[in-house]
Amino acid sequence: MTPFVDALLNPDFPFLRHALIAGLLSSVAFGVCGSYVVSKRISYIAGAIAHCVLGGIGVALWLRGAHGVEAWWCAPMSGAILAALIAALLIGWVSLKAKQREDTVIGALWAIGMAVGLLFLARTPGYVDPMSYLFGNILMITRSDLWLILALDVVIAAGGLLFYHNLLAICFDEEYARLRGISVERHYLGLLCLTALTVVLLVSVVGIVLVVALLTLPAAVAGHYARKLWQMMLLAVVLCAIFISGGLWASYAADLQSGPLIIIIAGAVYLVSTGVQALRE
Amino acid sequence: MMNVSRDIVEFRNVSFSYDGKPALEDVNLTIPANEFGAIVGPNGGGKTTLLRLMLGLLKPDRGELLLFGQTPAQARMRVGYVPQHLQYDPQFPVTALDVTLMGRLRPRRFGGYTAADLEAARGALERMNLSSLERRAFSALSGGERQRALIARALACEPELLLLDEPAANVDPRAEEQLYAILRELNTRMAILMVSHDIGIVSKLMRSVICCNKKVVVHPTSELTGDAIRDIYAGDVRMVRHDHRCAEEGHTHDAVR
Repeated sequence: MTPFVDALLNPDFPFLRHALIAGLLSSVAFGVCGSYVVSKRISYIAGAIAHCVLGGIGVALWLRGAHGVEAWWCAPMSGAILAALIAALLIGWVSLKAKQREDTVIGALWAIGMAVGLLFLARTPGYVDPMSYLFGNILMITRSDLWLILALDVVIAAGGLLFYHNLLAICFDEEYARLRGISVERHYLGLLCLTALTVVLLVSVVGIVLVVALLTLPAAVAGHYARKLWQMMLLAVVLCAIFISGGLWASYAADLQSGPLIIIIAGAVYLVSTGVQALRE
Repeated sequence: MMNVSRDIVEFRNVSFSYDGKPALEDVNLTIPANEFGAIVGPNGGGKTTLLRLMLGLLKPDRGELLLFGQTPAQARMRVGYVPQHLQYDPQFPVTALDVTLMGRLRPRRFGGYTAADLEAARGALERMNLSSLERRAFSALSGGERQRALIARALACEPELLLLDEPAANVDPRAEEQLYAILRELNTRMAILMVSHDIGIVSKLMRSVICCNKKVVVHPTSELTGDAIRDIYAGDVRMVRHDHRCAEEGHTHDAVR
């Protein structure tokens, strides 16, 4: 453990420090949003949004590389945010308007987003490694990324907590929330947009392919022990922070990629916790 | 005090169809403020449709439906609703009190519930004999307790009309008996309409039976007979007599109030 702590404190290794700060910051968003996603059972929507993010990143990098557009709106992160929000609103619109074909549309968006991203990346001059987006590289996070992560974090946590009671009611019993005069559609779309922003954060921590795992596993473990949604959120935030820190440490100690290690730790804890739950019953 | 003669629900020539298939035709119906009625009829006869129209979840194709002189959507805050079964995730992290508080939701509000909301929710739980369980996870409640929690949620907004969808369908007989005792007591303060299968219970407890098979006909329970029930279910039905209040001589549908 000590070499890891030394490396964290070493001024010549800012990337490890940035990675840990990014992980701890975004744990708040992951725990809050993940608890909604797990209790509303929309993790497959998060998966589709994640894969659409590659489309946004691909287009943004292509605009930069092939056309020299340097504006802030075509930074990879902006492309990711835009693509995620568009995907979320599209899926939300389809699921509100045409219930029966929802899964087909989600599956289609999932694949199309990815395909668009790969094609644009292929046309982008210079070599862009899709692997770092697919499996994440938290060590690439820079100081300026941290500010963006903080901003997203604040938006997600504020949105998730400000509308806590309404969102809780909608996740639990949509029809009753509607009968109490709550605009279910608007809240549902809002929840999907929060999920989209969370997915963008997750992509920078663990990468597109592993998004769903880090969004749902901490919340699912927390769900084993929480009796209230806010308890689930709090516990999920703590667990998420532990998984990410643990993954970073293991990655440093074993010289392996951090994304997969974070997920392995989260998955292992989930399996053990599920086993304990089963034994208790 | 409640004005007994006032009608709180008015259906005027209401029709409703699902994708062209008529579910209810030309419904004329009034519900007085002290009503304790059961909505009965065969499966697919439109019982739930009738309920969902009153809740404003469906809109009539034709005709007019008023609750408290307003549209159902406008009157929502004065109506309590207890669904038949909740499609809920058994791991969903809510307590009995959380669920009850949802009855106090209002449009356009973020932030928490007020002290008044909490007091009303606790009061509703107490009326349902659930005070000691308010911190228990909703999923850890028994079937009967869970249903009482859902009734508490409906009561938390202090409704003037309580609608229940097959409240006896998923509870054991003891809980069912308890339920009817509670409803009878609540009826002193509000109108109650429930969808029901059990005509025996209906005729013992209720003031009237709303028979629903595309057409809607109201029978005061004092006039309920085998003929009427055969009419409703459009076939042979064996009726077990629970009650001497069933008239011997039968009746016609002209006897609608």
